[in-house]
Amino acid sequence: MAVSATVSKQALREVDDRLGGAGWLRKTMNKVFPDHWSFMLGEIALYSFIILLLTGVFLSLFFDASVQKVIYQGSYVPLRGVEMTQAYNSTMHITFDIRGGLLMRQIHHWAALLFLSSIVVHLCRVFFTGAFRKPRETNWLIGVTLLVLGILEGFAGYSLPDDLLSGTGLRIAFSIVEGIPLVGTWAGFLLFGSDFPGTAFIPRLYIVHILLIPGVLLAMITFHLLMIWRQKHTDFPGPGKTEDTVVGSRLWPTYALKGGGFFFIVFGMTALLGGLAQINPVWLFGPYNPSHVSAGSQPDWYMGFLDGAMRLIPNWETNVLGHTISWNILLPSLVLPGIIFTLMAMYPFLEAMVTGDHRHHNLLDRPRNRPSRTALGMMSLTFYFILLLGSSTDVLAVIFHSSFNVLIWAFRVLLFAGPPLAYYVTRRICLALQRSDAEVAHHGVETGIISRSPTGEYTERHAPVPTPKVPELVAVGGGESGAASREIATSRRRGGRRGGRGRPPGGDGTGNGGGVVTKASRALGGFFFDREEPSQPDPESPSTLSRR
Amino acid sequence: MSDANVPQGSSDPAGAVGPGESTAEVPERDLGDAPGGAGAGGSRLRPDAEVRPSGSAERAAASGGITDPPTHGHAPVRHVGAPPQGGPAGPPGPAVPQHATSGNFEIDTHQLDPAEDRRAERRVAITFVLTVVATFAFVGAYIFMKIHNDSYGSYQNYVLGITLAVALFAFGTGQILWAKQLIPHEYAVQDRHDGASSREEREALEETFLAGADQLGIGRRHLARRTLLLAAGIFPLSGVVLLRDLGPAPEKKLRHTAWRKGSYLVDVETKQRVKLGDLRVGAILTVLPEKFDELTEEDWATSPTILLRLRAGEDRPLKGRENWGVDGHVAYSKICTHAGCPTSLYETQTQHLLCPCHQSTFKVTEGCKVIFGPAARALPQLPISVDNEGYFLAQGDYREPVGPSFWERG
Repeated sequence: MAVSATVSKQALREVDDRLGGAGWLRKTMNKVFPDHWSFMLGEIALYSFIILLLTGVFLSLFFDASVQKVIYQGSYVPLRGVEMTQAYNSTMHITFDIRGGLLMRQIHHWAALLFLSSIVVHLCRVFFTGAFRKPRETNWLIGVTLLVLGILEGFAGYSLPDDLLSGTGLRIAFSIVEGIPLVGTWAGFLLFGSDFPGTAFIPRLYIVHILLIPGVLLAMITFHLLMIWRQKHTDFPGPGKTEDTVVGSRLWPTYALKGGGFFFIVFGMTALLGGLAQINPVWLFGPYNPSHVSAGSQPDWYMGFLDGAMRLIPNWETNVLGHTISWNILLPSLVLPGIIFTLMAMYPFLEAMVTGDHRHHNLLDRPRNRPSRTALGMMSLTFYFILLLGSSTDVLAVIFHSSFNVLIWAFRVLLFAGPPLAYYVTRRICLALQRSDAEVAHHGVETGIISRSPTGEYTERHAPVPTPKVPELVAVGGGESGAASREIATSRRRGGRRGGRGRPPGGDGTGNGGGVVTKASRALGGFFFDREEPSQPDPESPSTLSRR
Repeated sequence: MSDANVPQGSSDPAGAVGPGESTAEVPERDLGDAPGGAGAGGSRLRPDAEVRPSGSAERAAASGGITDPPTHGHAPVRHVGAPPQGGPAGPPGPAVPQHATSGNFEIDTHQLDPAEDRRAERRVAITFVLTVVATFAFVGAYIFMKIHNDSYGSYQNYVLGITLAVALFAFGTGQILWAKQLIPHEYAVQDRHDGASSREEREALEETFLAGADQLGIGRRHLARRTLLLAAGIFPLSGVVLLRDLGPAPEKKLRHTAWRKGSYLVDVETKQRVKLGDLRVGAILTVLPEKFDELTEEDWATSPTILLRLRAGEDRPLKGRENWGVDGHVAYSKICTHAGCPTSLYETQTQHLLCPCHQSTFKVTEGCKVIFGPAARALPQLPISVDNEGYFLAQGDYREPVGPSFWERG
């Protein structure tokens, strides 16, 4: 022990002699991280990315992104003698002739699905708990960018093997580029180096997949983490939690060990999936041939919402002055994701504008205490999942023995009817949960003990709420006093500009035409805070509760 | 670690402090591995949050009953003012600057039952040994197993995956067990120090920036500023121009396929010419122009054509296309006019052609017009005829561009 302590000290001194970072390093080791299961979601995304880098490097040692035609001679007999591109051939080689190659391919693919899934779930956590609020808007923007880049990266990845499924995906991608007004045809020819399919695109896509996008992803993930480091993690309200402190365990040794261990758990999960659960069996699809396609062609799940939109769009196309605009391509594949991701990116700013809440927030909201935000989130998710389900109308039609025409129409109706319904239902549930919280906060927990008073009156005894729960129940404003947010709400309704600190005078982009915007945001503010109060125990009334 | 291990009350070992004691008075012990001024960070802990047992608040509630707030004395806890002073036996170090001290760390130093502690360490060790064993199993499977069996099922892949997963799971579990069961639990509170800098610092920054901008004269020097913006706007043009040679000009390439007048229709599978009578009624065949070994990749993508045989008199050709088919045989482009997938699903009963990608549906007997789905235009028809021996050949190229729409299509 003494020896290793000496060695450690010596090592630390050697480092400090050169870098002089003892103070910084000690602060780093003492950095406190809060603990909650939902904070692991982002970690899963980070670890999947590391797994993708590791397995991707392995695959790149064997993969040959060339569309040179070769005759397959490998050990998978059913395809022997078949002409295919070198890209497909080397994928087959990795799968059937490199030991562990199939495992690495499948881990890579599973990790990619996990990467995007965990990003989406992490995003939901951040959204529904209000973690995107000031001062973390920048990190929200980085997160949205990471999601978009991740989708592109995934698409580039599964397009590389040049199998029948991915070739069909690329054909659709070319059509989408072709569909861009004015420059589409040129853009397609430049990207692909000729008309589809050409010989240039797969090698180009390979560089994009293994260098360009991963480089940007790596830089942005680094920045994402640096921001978390600098701003410290948010935390749920609870006993001992305040806006000014962070409570948890320190990086050294607890958090480092837990985080490191969790990386291996995630890696182990992808290894198990890669070993046991077949994914993207390209040898069953065969090499790409533009005149072939398999029924039930579906992309990876994260492309599904675009595919669904492509199916649900009516067959609109206009022809003006000799120029064709194919709305049936443009709207679902470019306009729709453009709107979705723009709104997503702008949400923190829109919400701040509407609520007038420009304060710092380090404590999270319970979703129920922000009914409008939660309802908007559920509305968006409903829209998204209807599109996602829409991408499997053909499969659903088979499963349910239904006509896909009926299904498509059902999805078209659902796409517009579902989200408002989800909004309404979510909002009602949130308000009901608030009332139930208020009930508990005011009257305590039902004990089931009935007592009879000397006068013969029967009453049920209510026990006080356990203290640790109290802040959760009453902390509407994410730890700030409920009165404060109510004050904002009220002043908003009156048209005031309370809470507008940090807003440069006239320089917030809403300055021009402020009249309309101000009115609109005022109206929206009232709507946003509408009926938020039921959960508020009256601060003036002597309550049985001791508020934190 | 369960609450059962947490001694209730303050019968703690030496070094632990009772609740409410100030951090500055904490005797130093093994955790003080960093020098510093004791308690300099100042106690930010409220009375009700000051001492936290190893479990969470909920656990305290569960064990203590709902009326019992999580207050003092559940577990012996050391407050370590950050940073604590001096090493285990060493003299107090030099005072650390105030700004470096930003937290209070309470470490639950209750002693585990030594037997339980040994068991916990053994559990950790077992997971690490399991990692070693599983890794050896992985190596063994890599060396000794066949990569796949005769039906291409890869037992080796299963074994490699499982052993790798076990090794990784065990390695991760070991570390987490170590963190959860061997490291003393701690309740650390740290100032966030977030948000704005001090007013002085902000003002100094603004002054520095504005002074620089003033020296720069960006507001005054209109000519320089405008030409700077002009140059900044123009110079990326060279980069854009460099992209021009990524590909050829589209020209009329999207308007033509490999079909020419007199091209024989050849089955893509058998590479044989197709003759009258080869197709049964209701049959469908994918064809390309003859000599398709000479076809380019792009021809392969644009020229696939479906040859169908309908019942005699069933086809209702469009005006001007009356002689585009032969004896119930008609040929249509296989490339969907929506997103370019091959429309390869044919329903004989209804004469529907269906695209498997987005389910655009075309009515074959009515010029392949769109009857459902996102495609906006009918599939282009290839005019065909037969030669003297009855082989199908094209009367010429498609009369309109095949495949998805594009801006210049018109």
